[in-house]
Amino acid sequence: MGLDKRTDLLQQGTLELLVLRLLRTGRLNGWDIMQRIRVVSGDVLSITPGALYPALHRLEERGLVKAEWASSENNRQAKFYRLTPVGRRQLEAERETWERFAGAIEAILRDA
Amino acid sequence: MGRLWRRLRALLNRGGLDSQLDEELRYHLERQTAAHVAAGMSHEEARRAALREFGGVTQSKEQCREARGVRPFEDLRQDLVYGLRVLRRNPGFSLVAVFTLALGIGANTALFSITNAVVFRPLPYPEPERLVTVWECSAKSEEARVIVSPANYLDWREQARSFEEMGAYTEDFYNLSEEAARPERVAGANVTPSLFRALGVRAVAGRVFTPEEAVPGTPTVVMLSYGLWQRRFGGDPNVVGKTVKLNGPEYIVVGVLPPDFIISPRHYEVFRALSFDETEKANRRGRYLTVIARMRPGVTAEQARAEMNALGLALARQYPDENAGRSATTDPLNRTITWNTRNTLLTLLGAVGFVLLIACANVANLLLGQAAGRRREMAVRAALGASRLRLVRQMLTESLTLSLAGGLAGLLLAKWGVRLLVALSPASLPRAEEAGLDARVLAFTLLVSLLTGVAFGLVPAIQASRVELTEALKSGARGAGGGRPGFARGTLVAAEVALSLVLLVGAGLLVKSFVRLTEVNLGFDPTHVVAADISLPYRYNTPEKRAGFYHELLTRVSALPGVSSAAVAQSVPLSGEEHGGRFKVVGREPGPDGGDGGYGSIYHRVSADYFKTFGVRLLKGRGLTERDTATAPAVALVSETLARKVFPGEDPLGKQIVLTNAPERPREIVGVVSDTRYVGPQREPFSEIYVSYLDDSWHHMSLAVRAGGDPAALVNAVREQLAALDADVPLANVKEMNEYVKDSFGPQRFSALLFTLFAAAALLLAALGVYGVISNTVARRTHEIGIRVALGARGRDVLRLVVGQGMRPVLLGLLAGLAGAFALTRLLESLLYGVSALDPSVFAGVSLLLAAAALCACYLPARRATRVDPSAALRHE
Repeated sequence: MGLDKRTDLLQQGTLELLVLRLLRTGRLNGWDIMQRIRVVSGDVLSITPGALYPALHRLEERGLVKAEWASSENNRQAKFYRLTPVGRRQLEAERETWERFAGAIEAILRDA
Repeated sequence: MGRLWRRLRALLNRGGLDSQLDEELRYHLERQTAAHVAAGMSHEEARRAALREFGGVTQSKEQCREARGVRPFEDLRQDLVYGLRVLRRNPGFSLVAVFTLALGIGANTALFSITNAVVFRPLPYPEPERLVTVWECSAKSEEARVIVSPANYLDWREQARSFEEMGAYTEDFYNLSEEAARPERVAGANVTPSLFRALGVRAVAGRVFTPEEAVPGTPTVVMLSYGLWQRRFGGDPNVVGKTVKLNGPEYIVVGVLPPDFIISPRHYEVFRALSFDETEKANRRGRYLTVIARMRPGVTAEQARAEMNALGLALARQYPDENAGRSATTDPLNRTITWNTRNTLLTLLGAVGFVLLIACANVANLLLGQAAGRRREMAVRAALGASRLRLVRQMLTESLTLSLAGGLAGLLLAKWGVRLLVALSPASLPRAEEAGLDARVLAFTLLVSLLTGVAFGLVPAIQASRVELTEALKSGARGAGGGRPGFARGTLVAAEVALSLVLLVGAGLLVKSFVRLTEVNLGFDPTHVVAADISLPYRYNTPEKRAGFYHELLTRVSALPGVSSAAVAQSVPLSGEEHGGRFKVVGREPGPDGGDGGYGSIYHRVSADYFKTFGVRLLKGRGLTERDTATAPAVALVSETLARKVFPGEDPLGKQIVLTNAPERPREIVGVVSDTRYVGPQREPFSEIYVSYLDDSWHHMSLAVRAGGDPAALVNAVREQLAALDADVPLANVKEMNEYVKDSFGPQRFSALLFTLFAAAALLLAALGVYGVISNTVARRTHEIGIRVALGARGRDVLRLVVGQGMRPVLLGLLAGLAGAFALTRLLESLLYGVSALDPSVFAGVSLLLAAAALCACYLPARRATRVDPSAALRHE
């Protein structure tokens, strides 16, 4: 129950922002992305593959990420995603928006 | 752009992308499983956990595809592929359905393209909706429209504010000749130069008339129709400036009109500038002009009509002698040109629409029959997660595939059907020869096909998607399920029967009306008579010269072997040319109606043997003789109807009348002859007056020859005699009177024939529909019938059971159809002659015919039911 609630916090746009952020450092495949979100958020955020993969395909469709097949560890072919220049710009823009938004929320929570 | 490209590529490379998606998700599952194994689970456990955590893999895949935006296309593609497979697997069904639809859609397309060409297509002028015809009319009824006198036209033109330009024309016939070419008689019009400006028409070669050319006494100029230019002058670009002779005098060709130029249902080939001298400018009584006007931008048809109403009434007050009781009104020009045909074509279009509805009902019935067999399939698909909407959509895709195939085949049929219709169509159908499959017709066909597909597909689709999963999946359940499909099919059969009955009643009425028309006593005998037109050149410039020519011609022709009598007349019956005139009775006061106190009649100038040649009987007094010349005492013969109307209870013989047409001197009535239906078989006899051609002969006359045998065999001999008299005079428009009679039925034959064709198609379709439903019922109930037979039912009982159930919707349909016909045949009234729109014998006759056809259609499968072998039936399944 509690886990589901936390997942709900991850709106579609937020998930995409996180994915873009994770891809900034280099290419990743879907499983990696899922693990990292869980690990980096200290198990607070957890996402299902059912939400992640459609999000990845949406980003690809919008031209923000680019997919390529490459071999992963143990030589297995896996699909990796990397940020495109458009995606990079999008990330910067959305991050700013997010920080303003988060800052505003935080300010209200603190003072009010 | 890039996105569209990716989407397209995604669609084309569907297989590749799908397998990539599979591979991507499989990789994820493997990694997750491996992670669980590393955490200490067994491989099997780990795999199950990974799957569980993933959620619905298929669902995910769908969402990924959706993310790529190819989902709607993808579904359509699937449905199409699947639909085609289903249809291919069932070629008999598909063929019957497509053929039925092709017939329905084809007939509609063909008739629509004719109607489009004749009725809907805008006239070939700029902003044609601003063009109107302006009529004089009765102040009491705007429907009583007549053509216009020059003085009224000129007043309108000066005073009416609603119009940008107004023009007029009058029909005329000319002897056309030029150097070294055979003369011919052509129909044409004298037109005011302003008419071309009102229409906004430009010449394709040369120019149109200038206003100066409407002044009397200016150089005489002529314009040619495109057809005449091509036919007689071989499209010679130098024709402009050439000289042609019209009835003698020379005219200079100044221009050629566009090929689609049209101002009247009749086809004109030569146009002369129409001018009014001082006498004509004051002529308010002689009405011979058709007036066409272009409304100013922004003026509505109602405003223009209201203004003309008021103006007409004002002119009636100003000139009570000539205009008392009159007003003026307007009509859209395209209405005037299509006149009678509009109603006929729209009625036929309605009828053929019925045929298509019946075809739809039939195919829907076939689909329902199929649906019963596909309940299992639908149930399986529903169980695998197809939504109800998805099932309906799949079924609709199938029916749209069918209807589009039907539409395509129908288009081919229509291409051929249009040619057939144009060939069948009466000559009075203007612009029909331009009918073809243009963009508008193609759009119509596409629209009709789509609507058809939805119309016949929707009910079966909803029916089929309403699956009771557990019920349908039970292996023992046959397609017998529920009363609903049976109810739907019964309703469809009833609807088919009702629609067919309406069509059959319509056809019955039109056929009966046509037969009535052919049985009408025309008042003259057309058999063995051939007629031709003769126009004398202007050098026959006195009545004596003309009379002398005709007299000599008659003497020569009458002497030919095989000729039993010959006559000249200003025009012959049913030729569409008639000369009206008004007359007064000497010694009588003007009538109480405030008019000129005169009577209207058809005015014939004929030779003595006209009556003998046409078999018109002399009832009283004497006939005309060769002694009734311009110098002898003036005499006239009148028709029975005139005698009865003008001289009720009096002896018309010896009475004096004065014709208001020249020459005006009192004429003594010396004889009464029988009536003729001169204008058309459906028109009651008019009042008719006959005077001798020797007294008042014109340049244009018609020659009529009664032969002992085949009249066509005489034509060459007659032509030789005419050429021997004057080589410049053509024998034009040679036609047997029987042809005139046949042509006068043309429109009625056309509508009766087409309606009958449509009704026959409807009958056939309805019978097939009933047959299909009953066969299907019998097939589904074999088991039950077997039990009944095993329990002792005899053949007769089974027959009664099946036929009785089959006929129930038929009888309901008959009742509904009778009610529908009762309401709808009113629309046919204007097309009927001599038969009421509610003719009981027609209603009863076609109901019986339809019931009999339905009974046959029930009987055949019912008889099959009586042969059910109970033991075989019970073993079955």
